[in-house]
Amino acid sequence: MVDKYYGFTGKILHVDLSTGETEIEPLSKEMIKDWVGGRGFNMRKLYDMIDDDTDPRGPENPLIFGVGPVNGTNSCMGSRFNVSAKSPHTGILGDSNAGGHLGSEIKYAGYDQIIITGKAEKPIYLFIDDDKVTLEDADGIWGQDVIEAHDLIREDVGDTSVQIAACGPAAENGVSFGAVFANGVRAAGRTGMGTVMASKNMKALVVRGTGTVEAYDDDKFKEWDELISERVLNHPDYESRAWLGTPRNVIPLNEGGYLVTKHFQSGYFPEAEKMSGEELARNYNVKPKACHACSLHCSRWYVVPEDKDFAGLQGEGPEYEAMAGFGSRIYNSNLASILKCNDMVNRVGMDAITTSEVISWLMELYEKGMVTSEEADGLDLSWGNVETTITLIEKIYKREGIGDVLADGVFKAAERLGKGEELAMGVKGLEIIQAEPRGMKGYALTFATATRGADHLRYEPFFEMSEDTELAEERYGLPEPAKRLEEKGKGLLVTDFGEWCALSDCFNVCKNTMVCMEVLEMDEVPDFLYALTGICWTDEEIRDVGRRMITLEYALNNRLGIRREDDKLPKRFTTEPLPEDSRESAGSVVDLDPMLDEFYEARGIDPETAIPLEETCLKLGLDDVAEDLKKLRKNL
Amino acid sequence: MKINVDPEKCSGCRLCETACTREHYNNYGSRTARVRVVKIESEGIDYPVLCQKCERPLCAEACPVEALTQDKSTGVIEVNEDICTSCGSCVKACPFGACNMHPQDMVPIMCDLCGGDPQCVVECPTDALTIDDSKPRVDFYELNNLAQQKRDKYARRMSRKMLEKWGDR
Repeated sequence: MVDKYYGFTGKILHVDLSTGETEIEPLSKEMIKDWVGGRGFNMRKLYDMIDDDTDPRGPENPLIFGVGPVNGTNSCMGSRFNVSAKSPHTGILGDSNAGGHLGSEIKYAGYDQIIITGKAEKPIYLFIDDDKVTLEDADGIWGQDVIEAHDLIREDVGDTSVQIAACGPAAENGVSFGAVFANGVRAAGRTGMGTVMASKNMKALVVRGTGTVEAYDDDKFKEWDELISERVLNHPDYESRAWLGTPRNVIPLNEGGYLVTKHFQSGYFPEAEKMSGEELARNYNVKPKACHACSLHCSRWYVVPEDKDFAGLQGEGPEYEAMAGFGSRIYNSNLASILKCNDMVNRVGMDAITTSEVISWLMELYEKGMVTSEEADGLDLSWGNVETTITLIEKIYKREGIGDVLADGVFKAAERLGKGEELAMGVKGLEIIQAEPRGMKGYALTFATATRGADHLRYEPFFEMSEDTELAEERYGLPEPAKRLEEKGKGLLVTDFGEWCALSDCFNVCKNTMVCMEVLEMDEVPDFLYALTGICWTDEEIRDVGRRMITLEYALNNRLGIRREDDKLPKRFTTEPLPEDSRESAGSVVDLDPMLDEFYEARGIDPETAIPLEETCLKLGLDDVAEDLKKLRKNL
Repeated sequence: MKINVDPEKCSGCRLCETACTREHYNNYGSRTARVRVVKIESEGIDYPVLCQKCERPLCAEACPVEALTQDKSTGVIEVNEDICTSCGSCVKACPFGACNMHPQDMVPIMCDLCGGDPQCVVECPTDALTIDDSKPRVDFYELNNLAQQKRDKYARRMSRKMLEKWGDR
């Protein structure tokens, strides 16, 4: 192993906001070998720093920013960062990941991880200016929306090239799903990391880095960089990913009958074309936008044309999740209004997915006569009502009236209203994304078992939509993993892709390129990493990184009370077949238990309790975790 | 040779910056890059700024010790680091903010066109940066034609009283 750090900076920065004190912890080579970066570093620290008693909004809850070896280089995928804490939204593992330009800046400033604890006396922003760390007065910035805050902070610092991760007024007002935003719109959206930030009286993390990142073997790394770029540019998905971005998913999901429609009451939205990525590209998009050093540039700048509602509105995005969330999920095909809703949730700083769930859930309750207009501040909760949706977003972020009921997520809302719990579309307290689980069984299993609650990005089994049965045979020994409506083999697929996603989050590269476009093979990773870091991993050691991560994450949640019965799906998906209109997905339901069993077996997790087996922990060098879990089992 | 920028094509990815530092220093950074992308997020602006290879380089003129000289054929400003006093006059003089001090070495850094194969252009995935060597850096004929048109307009305006005195033709 080399002495100097390549690909890493070798430093972890600790900041205590209560005292203003900082400390540098050297990054050990063992930490690098076991956890590689980003999410890996964060999860290991989080496991050590939180327990059942940690108040997610208390000063003791750490807010951890982590980046990986690829950040800062010009390898076209590595722009991302992870932000982690105990979630105020779900009460379990909290972690979210976003792109933009912050991740690279953290590396340029000289850090692999920033761990923030305590609580500032008054609103501040944390300014990390290379090795100088200060708490700056956020007077006049606190209370401003995310985009405004970015501008004001840059003005305050006197340098527009600093990079920022900020929370919005929603988080300041205590909404449990407040997000962290980099570059104004790149959302680390899930599990309420912005709420944790605001609970520390911290408006933003602001970074300026004048340093650089070095590769161990320049020539070899340059070769890898060129090869990966070539694979991106020659990929069959390149054109549509580059010019439509993630909204490219609207049409194919709808045609396959698994686009979330009317709050999961159907998989088909007759007016999907009007709210598609294609329509956005035709009439709204004016310019490509990209995260740091990415040649895919899947983001876009739009201007709403004269003849549409909200004419003149402009901004970056949106991503598919917000498109479908404020589109088909609430039965709305007015694209300009979707852009307006997206702009609003970004500015006030909320998770677009959770926001779209609480609104569409309320609309379904209204449709079913379970909630009246009077109970919802007199609002007309009919499907597709844009004015109502906009009013609800405002009420939620201000915690006003019915908005206050919705501001802690769908499960708490059901609890407060005393109804609608069976229709709450979430798992482990986190609301489901814009994908109909009955139409994509690998994703159904992912939602049930993802370690931060119902979410796709933990395991992203994108391969199940490929229909490449030959490759499935080769990889998993059976054809079904390449077919989205099949349950068989999905435990294996989700296990495999979970390890991919874990590694992707450790490098802190984008899953669009690394996982969905598969531009780097697992057996190429050691060579790629060696060129970048000068550190050797064997094929098996690389596989172990993902295994170790998911095992540790399961154990962390186990310690916070999560068991087998929490690895589930809302009843609708396992009991009600998708209706006739849902194209080739019609009639499909999820048979979850066999998939779970296959998954637990592949993962080395006890199927009775969903606690990782002792031998699994020991094999991965997680001796302390094995010890913790032993105690847990004794108390069962 | 000059590098043209099309702001409608720039995605703001800053690959030009990392390509630049790799070429010059064998590492990856931003503040040591000779091209810096201005990002004004609230307005959707992404604009790479780099040395304009001015016909009359104010940076070189401002240098009190003549550390900066221009290669007249390419327009590139060459920095003699041995005599540079790090006074920053060049940075203050550049009208475009294209001249920066290297944060560690404290000498001005500006685009040298990578010796004729600018890596920022090579790496740019959207063709927002393009090489333009079809014409001189400043087209004097075009500029002087414009001046002639202005002179005509000015002369006509200043002669109005005289023409009125002479009456209709």
